Amino acid sequence: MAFLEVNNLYKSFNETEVLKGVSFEMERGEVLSIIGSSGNGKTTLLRCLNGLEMANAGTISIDGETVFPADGKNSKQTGLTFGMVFQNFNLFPQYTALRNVTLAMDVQAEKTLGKKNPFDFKRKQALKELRAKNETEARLLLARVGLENKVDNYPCELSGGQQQRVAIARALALSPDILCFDEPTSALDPELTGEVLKVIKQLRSEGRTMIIVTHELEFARNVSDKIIFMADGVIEETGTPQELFENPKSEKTKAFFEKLSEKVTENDD
Amino acid sequence: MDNIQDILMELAEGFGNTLALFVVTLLFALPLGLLFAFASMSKFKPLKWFMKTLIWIIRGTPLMLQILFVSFLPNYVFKTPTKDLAAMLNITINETMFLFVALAFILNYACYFSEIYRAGIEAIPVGQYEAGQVLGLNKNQIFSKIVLMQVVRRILPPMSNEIITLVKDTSLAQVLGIVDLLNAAKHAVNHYVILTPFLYATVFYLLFNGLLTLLLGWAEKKLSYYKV
Ligand SMILES: Nc1ncnc2c1ncn2[C@@H]1O[C@H](COP(=O)(O)OP(=O)(O)OP(=O)(O)O)[C@@H](O)[C@H]1O
Ligand SMILES: [Mg+2]
Repeated sequence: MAFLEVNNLYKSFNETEVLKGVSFEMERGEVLSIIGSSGNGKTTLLRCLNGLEMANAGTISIDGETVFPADGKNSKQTGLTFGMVFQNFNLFPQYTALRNVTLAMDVQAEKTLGKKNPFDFKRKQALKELRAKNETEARLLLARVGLENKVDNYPCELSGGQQQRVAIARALALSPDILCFDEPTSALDPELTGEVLKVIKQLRSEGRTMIIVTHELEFARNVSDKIIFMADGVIEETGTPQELFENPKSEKTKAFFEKLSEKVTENDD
Repeated sequence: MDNIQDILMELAEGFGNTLALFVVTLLFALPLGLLFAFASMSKFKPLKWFMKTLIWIIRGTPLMLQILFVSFLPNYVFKTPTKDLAAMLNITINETMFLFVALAFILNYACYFSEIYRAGIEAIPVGQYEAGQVLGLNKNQIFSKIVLMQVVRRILPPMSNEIITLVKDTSLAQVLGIVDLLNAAKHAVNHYVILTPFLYATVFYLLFNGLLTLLLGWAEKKLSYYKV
């Protein structure tokens, strides 16, 4: 049994069928990239995984435990199983980089302490200690993405690449089982993509389990253990980077690569 | 010259009522407006349409008419003359009148505020909610810890406008005989047959609004420490 098993996921919006039976699996510590042309349901797939969207049918299980469809008890948990890094960062503008990272940690800390009570001084003390611990941890996380000097800056004071790195630290803060990226560099100026990709590479070397939707094919090729090519709401082809890039089996995959290389040569002219 | 002191005392008393109405209206209309805003955005259609209709009526009719309507309501609909109502509540007739005015003001301003809140809430990008959701925050936590601050920052300028307007609207209280600042000035003008009380009232209004403008401007500046 694989670590993550996705089985026959269906999703449609009104009349539009977006996911038409998506199944795949991945092991712990693997990096999986999803590629495919625009509008093929890559974002929708990620959103179904992390609970931002409800699939119409299918199952998702992690470590043998079904996380979708939820049975009420663990329905809240999906958010913490899958971390999410958005295309346009979605940082909280009113908080510093540090607070962006600690916010969710502190909410979790409060949850572990149970009900609030203004006279429960023990709880207050415990919360204070947990918060201090969270802050230390958040500083470490920000240092790991190379932002130790930006902890007290607000998102508006950071470049796009820096903002995305804060977003990565924020997602790591809850130690998700699987970290998902939805085109993490496509809102960035070309000269800023490198710093974000470097962080993702570093996470890979730490053995993080990651799913990356990306248009950066070179990057996908370098960083992935497995690549999924999506077309028309289904997985058209799956394989190692070598298999997919050097020896694509499906006609659609071939066409996709050919079109891209045409574009590249056009740009070169 | 003795008159001046008397006049200023009368005006100060009137200003007391103006201030009371102002504070009471804000105190209740600010939270009630937020509630109205949620109702007008509710997924429960009947509630949403009820709220939208109420807001349409309140914003589409003069506040003075609304004050009169509230004051006639007990007598005509519930067959309870104001006198009896005052006795029931154990307050004076004047206080009852103030109650009517305050109710109309609160309802009116809650409706205006609710539209400002609604616009502010709807302007928050959906990505903020989604980021909160994938970080394991529930709906209330997302609103209180992520959205609210951003909404407050966005709505402060239009809110300031309404608040300044409220100061001037308080003069409508005189339709039920409340002696507010302007009404007190009118009495003084008639009584002493001079125009200066109007001038004093003008100064009162301007000083008060000037103070409010400074205060709200300061708050706006405080909240502008980040750009969106
Ligand atoms: N909330 C929604 N309501 C209606 N249709 C939607 C919604 N979200 C996505 N779609 C549709 O689903 C299809 C797939 O969208 P999706 O964003 O998953 O594609 P994608 O593969 O991520 O594309 P891109 O590479 O451009 O990001 C599109 O046709 C889109 O219009
Ligand atoms: Mg997408």
